[in-house]
Amino acid sequence: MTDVTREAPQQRNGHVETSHHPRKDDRRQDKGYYDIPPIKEHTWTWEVPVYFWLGGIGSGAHVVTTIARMCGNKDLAFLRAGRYITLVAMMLSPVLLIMDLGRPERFYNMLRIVKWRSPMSMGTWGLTLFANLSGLAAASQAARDGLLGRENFLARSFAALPDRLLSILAAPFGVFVGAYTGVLIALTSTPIWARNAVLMGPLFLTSAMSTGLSAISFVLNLGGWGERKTLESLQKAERASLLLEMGLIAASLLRMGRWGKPLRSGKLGAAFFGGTVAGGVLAPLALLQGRESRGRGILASLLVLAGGYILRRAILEAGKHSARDPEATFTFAWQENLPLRDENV
Amino acid sequence: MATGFLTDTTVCIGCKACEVACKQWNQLPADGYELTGDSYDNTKTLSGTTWRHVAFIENPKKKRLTGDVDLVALAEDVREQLPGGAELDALGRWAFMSDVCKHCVEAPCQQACPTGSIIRNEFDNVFIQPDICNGCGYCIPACPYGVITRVPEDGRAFKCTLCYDRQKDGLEPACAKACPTESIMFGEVEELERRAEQRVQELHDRGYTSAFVYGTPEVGGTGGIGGNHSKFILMDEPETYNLPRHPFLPQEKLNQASAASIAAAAVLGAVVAWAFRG
Amino acid sequence: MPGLGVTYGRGGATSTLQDLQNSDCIIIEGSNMAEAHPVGFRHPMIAREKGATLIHVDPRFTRTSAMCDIYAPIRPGTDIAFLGGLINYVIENERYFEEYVVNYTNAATLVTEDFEDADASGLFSGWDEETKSYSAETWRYEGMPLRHAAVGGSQDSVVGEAGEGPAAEETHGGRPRPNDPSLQHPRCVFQILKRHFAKYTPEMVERVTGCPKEAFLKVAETICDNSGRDRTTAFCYAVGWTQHSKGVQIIRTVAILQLLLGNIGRPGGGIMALRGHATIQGSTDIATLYDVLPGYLPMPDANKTHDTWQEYVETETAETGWWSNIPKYLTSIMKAWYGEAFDPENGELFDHFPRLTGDHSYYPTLMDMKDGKGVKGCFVFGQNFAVGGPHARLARDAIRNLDWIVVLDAFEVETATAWKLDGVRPEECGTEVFFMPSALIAEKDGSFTQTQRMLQWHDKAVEPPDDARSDAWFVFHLGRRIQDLYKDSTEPRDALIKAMTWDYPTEGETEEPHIESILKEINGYNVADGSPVGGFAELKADGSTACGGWIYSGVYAGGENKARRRKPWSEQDNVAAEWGWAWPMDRRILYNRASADPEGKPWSEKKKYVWWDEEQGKWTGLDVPDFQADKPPDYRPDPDARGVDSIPGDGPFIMQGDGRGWLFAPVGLKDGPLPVHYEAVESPVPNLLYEKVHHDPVAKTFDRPDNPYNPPEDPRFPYVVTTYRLTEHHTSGAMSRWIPWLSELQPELFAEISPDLAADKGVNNGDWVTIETTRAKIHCKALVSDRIPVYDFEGKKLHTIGLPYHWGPNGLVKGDVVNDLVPVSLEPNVAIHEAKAFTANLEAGRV
Ligand SMILES: Nc1nc2c(c(=O)[nH]1)N[C@H]1C(S)=C(S)[C@@H](COP(=O)(O)OP(=O)(O)OC[C@H]3O[C@@H](n4cnc5c(=O)[nH]c(N)nc54)[C@H](O)[C@@H]3O)O[C@H]1N2
Ligand SMILES: Nc1nc2c(c(=O)[nH]1)N[C@H]1C(S)=C(S)[C@@H](COP(=O)(O)OP(=O)(O)OC[C@H]3O[C@@H](n4cnc5c(=O)[nH]c(N)nc54)[C@H](O)[C@@H]3O)O[C@H]1N2
Ligand code: SF4
Ligand code: SF4
Ligand code: SF4
Ligand code: SF4
Ligand code: SF4
Ligand SMILES: [Mo]
Repeated sequence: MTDVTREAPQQRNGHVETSHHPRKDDRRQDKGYYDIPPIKEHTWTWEVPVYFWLGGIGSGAHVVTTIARMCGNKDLAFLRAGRYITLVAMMLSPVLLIMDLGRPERFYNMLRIVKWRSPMSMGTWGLTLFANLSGLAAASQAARDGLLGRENFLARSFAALPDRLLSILAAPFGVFVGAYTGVLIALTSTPIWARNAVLMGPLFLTSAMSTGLSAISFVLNLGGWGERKTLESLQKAERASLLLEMGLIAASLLRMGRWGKPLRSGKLGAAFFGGTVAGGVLAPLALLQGRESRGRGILASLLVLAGGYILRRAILEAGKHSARDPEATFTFAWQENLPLRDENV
Repeated sequence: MATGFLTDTTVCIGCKACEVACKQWNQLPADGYELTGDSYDNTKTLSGTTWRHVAFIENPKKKRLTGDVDLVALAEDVREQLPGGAELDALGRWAFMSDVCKHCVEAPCQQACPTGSIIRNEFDNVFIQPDICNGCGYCIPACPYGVITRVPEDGRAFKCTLCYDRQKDGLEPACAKACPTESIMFGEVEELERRAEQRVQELHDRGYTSAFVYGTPEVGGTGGIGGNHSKFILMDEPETYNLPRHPFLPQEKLNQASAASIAAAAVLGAVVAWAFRG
Repeated sequence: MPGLGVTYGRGGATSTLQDLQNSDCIIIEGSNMAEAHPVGFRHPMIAREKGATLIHVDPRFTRTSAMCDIYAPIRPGTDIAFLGGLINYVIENERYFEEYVVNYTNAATLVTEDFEDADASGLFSGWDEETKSYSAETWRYEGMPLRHAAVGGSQDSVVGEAGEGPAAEETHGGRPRPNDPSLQHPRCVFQILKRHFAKYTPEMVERVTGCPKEAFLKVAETICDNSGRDRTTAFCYAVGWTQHSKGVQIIRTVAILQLLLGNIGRPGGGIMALRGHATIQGSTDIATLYDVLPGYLPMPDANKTHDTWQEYVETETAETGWWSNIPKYLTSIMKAWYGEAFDPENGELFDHFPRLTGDHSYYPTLMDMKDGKGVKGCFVFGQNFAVGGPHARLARDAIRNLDWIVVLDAFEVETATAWKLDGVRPEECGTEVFFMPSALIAEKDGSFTQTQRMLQWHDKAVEPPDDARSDAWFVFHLGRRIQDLYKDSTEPRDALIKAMTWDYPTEGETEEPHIESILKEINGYNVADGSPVGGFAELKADGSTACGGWIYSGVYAGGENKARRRKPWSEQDNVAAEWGWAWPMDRRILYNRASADPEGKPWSEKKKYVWWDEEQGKWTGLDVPDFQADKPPDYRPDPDARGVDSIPGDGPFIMQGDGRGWLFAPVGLKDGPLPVHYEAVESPVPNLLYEKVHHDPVAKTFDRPDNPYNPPEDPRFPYVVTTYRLTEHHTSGAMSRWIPWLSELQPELFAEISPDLAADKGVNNGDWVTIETTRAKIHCKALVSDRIPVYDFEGKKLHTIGLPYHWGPNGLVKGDVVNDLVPVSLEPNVAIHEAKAFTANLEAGRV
């Protein structure tokens, strides 16, 4: 008998892959099954990140105007901008969501049941209520603005609606719509999302706020509308929420740890850090320093809006990468349920 | 009465009869014709069109499942001397594992489903009602075991029904029926649990101390899932079979996530109020 | 299956699948049971759980090996060396079951002085260099004429003088049979056997087979430990043994070994011949072989004394043993086929019966087709030899040279499309093709005779679609129309066609023949009133009974279709006597008289099965006794006893002239009375055991330009190819390549090679490779796997290439035809091709 071992042929020509475990990386643990992902990645298409973004804008815009009004802001242009932005966002959102369904004609099945533990179910209801309430408020605004005609019944009825009350009623649902999308993806088995379960809602909500603010200030700046004071307040709020957002991004990256790799590396990492961190948060922060200026304001708003979109898109994309990595799933599932020391066992 | 599976990998011969029987009974399409080069497994994984999947694990490091106590005594790194000296450690073990939906006790997919399409039926099986599902796709990333996908041609999500239709007619599931070695046992969960325990004990007594049940609240059905109604008897680490060792119920984090979001909302509200104050 | 037929008397598996559950050790060699017989493999798995040791001896590590306790790898084509080694081990270490051997085998019988063993020359006495064949004359028992000794066609008469032996007390057909129960006489079978296998030492086994000595010894120890009074070992084999130029002798070797260990006729013992297609056993029973009539009755032969009915019957009637009954069976089959028109008194009609004039087996006929020698057309029922037949390219060329071909199949198989394959221009192929859609099993009634000789009935579940009809329909209506065409003929040569009884009742609109009435004819009936006979014991030679297949007689006893019995296994004992019906006479384990000792008592309580009940004066037990029910154990035949009466009460092998299992086969085989290890016709190495003879000297080879052989030890073809099946496909792929669910599981042809060979050739898993023989070249992907061992031969590495053979040019998944590579080199007794061991070269890429 000769002493040929399995390693021998591998050494001879460097690499012989066999029908079992074609190991690409020798340093890796010999775990898993032919590198086939043990979990499935989500199958949502472009509509979903667009909705996450638009829904956030609508949520942010509505919440900001409502709070501002409660704090005594009387700027009508600001109120209009907020209400109309929300209206547009809330009209597009369901369309996008329905488009993404595998069976769009059955979208109404979402409304046959209320499930507390399902963020998507709650989201559907939240969105429905928010869209209707904020929509009524916007309609009332429109009637008063004469956009629905003057002397018709519809216009009169809408004008008679208690718009303030509606806005206030809609606000909690607005907050909900801004946050739930983050919670929705967090409550899955995708390691990068699930790992950040606690911060995902706050992050998305903060981004909803910053994009909502930016959308309003963009419109006001563009049209040259709005009172100076309002614009200043907006800038202040934007800065603050961007700072918060930055903090939450940093905390999220920390929290994601090794499972955050998809968001940190490769093209996706570049897009995220370039588009969201640098472009969508840090740059606007810089632009919004000092005295309020129309040009810088517009640019900042655009950057924040783009950054907000990239944030969602990148996180959704990262979820796919994360799900594709067997090791991420194994190590995460392992660690999530055992004290940390177990990793070294 | 809850029904489920106990899939005993130690007697599975890798014939894939279960996989084919499932496809035939449920009239599922083939997934394409690609030679993977991964042992004899060319269907790779569970999906919306493959509800049973038999994995082929060529495990070079492990001793074979034999009645041979000497081999067992040799412990882990048994390498087998072959003619020509080729010392073929792959012969360690060639194991087969017929994977399927775990029919979780607290099913993440069911909790995720916004339409209520996924229910627990009268057999306490996790069942997707095909007439309700609207293909939102949320159950897909929710499942910790990668069981479900959306079928592109159809738009809906599918997975093992535990042969609801057959059970209603008093028949056992097609996969279990086809299995020639009774590797797939179908029955009442409590009874299966008993059998699983007994089988593992038997294996331990015969020297295979690595045998264990996957799908209990301790292994496989962990983290709030509360165990699985389809369990497996395994010989290697769960990861070897592409199974997470300690999966968790994603919805367990709902309260934390909600609380954090509410807190964030409060902070943001305060920030906005502060900015617009006066 | 003359390997079993010659040794035990019947060419069928000696036991049943479920009986494997009673085994203490199961050795699977020459079969990939888990993959090719997954449902049958359930029983070894149950046995394993009950504590049995499972052994797999195979050139590849397969799904079967994965389930076994011991895996012993052997180089393809070296099983005789391995099994011969086991025989040597058993004899050398005196591990044989002495009482069994002395009483139930011909171990004690003396062989004539003229016999010379194959040792020095590699050839037995009786070799004729000119004709390249043996005369069996010198192989006979001392003083015995032996005629028609075993199942499977007639044998030339061998007559000799009665000689002197140390103890000539036994008689045999009236003659004293010299024997030596002490097994010491140098010319007794046992001593001959001992000398013959003496050189098959463990060291030699390792050198020849490549199986490590330790593994071999472990197997040897295990089977010896698991044989004897209290324990039994079973062997399972399939085409890993048969598809060799010496396949029959491989099976002979194991048959001898099992006799030595006392494992035949006993529960948990036996030799399980795993048969292939669902009713392949049935198709040889009733009868697709060209040289036998149903029930293995000899086909009339122009070269034998078969000129008249009387001569034919006389020539074929054995003096002793079961085959002395042959006149009853021959007459009954003629009555079944020709009814009134056949009169056994004069047997006139027989004069028109066709006679064999030579070898009309598959390959010679195929070559005649190709050469345009008299074969104008061809009916193909349920075969796809354009892919499944070895040297398939030759087969496709042959098809293209026919005037017409009729293919009955459910899929558009390559056999029906040869006219457009291989780059042939259809307009240049003159073959007229009739492609008839056939009904598949669920669409018709009928029976399967499966691997354990058991008939199981299936009922039609759905009507066949559209124009699809059963094969029986096709044949029945073809026969009807032919008969109609000839009805006015006065030519004597047409007498058979006119006389043929062809009047089965039909059913339904499509006039499907009533299948059960065919079964009834096969079972046999009394001519006078048409009542079914109870079994072949009731058949007569006077023409008062008709029977279409005597071995199946009894399946319709009392007018009950016993093949349709379906009492679940869970509701009866392990023998499951009320499920289906097994030939002969519903005996599940053959030769089961051997499960009792010579006095008729069970060998042990644990292994009791059939025994002599003194009180009732008959044999009884769990199974139908495979013995004359009332013949006491101490019965000794009178010197003038003939027929079955000449079998003693302790002779369990009732089909054999002497009632014994034949360790030494005085007659019946073309390549010697004892097995000898030969290399394959195409082998890269010399024969270490018999240097002068490389491969089976009587193997049938065809030296034709279109069938070149890779010469032995040719460096151009250094690798050994073995071909096999995958669970996921069926044979030529005709029934699986069109089915998406199966095709996705194994979508493509691949070659399994070792990492060692892959490294030599620079091939990675999944890369293309080219495999070439002198006959053809194919391309496929490589599956580089440690499951393919590298064999050591005299210090050199010997590589094996494993090729599943399921692909072809048609279907959902396509691939090159592996059988284009395979040579036509045939086993001499049964003309099986050698697809399990031949040589080839392998190169990386598609070259
Ligand atoms: N799934 C499936 N099942 C089938 C079939 C099928 O096509 N597909 N076909 C049916 C038919 S028709 C038949 S005949 C049977 C055949 O059943 P098997 O004979 O069990 O099947 P094979 O795969 O042809 O070969 C068996 C084994 O023989 C080994 N072998 C090759 N050469 C040698 C040798 O020299 N010595 C020894 N000891 N082993 C050797 C091969 O490595 C292989 O593992 O299967 C039947 N069952
Ligand atoms: N290299 C290599 N070659 C081999 C072997 C090997 O091991 N290696 N094995 C050999 C063996 S053991 C065998 S058995 C042969 C098998 O070779 P074949 O018998 O030529 O191949 P099959 O694909 O089984 O062909 C059976 C055909 O019958 C059809 N059929 C099924 N049911 C019916 C029916 O009821 N009526 C009719 N009319 N048709 C029906 C199917 O569609 C199919 O086309 O291959 C042999 N060839
Ligand atoms: S395994 Fe996945 S699909 Fe099955 S019940 Fe559990 S969560 Fe749902
Ligand atoms: S895809 Fe269907 S089953 Fe899955 S969560 Fe959505 S509605 Fe429920
Ligand atoms: S229970 Fe039915 S649906 Fe589920 S895997 Fe088995 S056969 Fe398929
Ligand atoms: S049918 Fe049974 S033995 Fe075959 S692969 Fe499935 S689980 Fe294993
Ligand atoms: S194909 Fe039929 S005969 Fe072969 S194992 Fe399966 S059930 Fe048995
Ligand atoms: Mo076969």
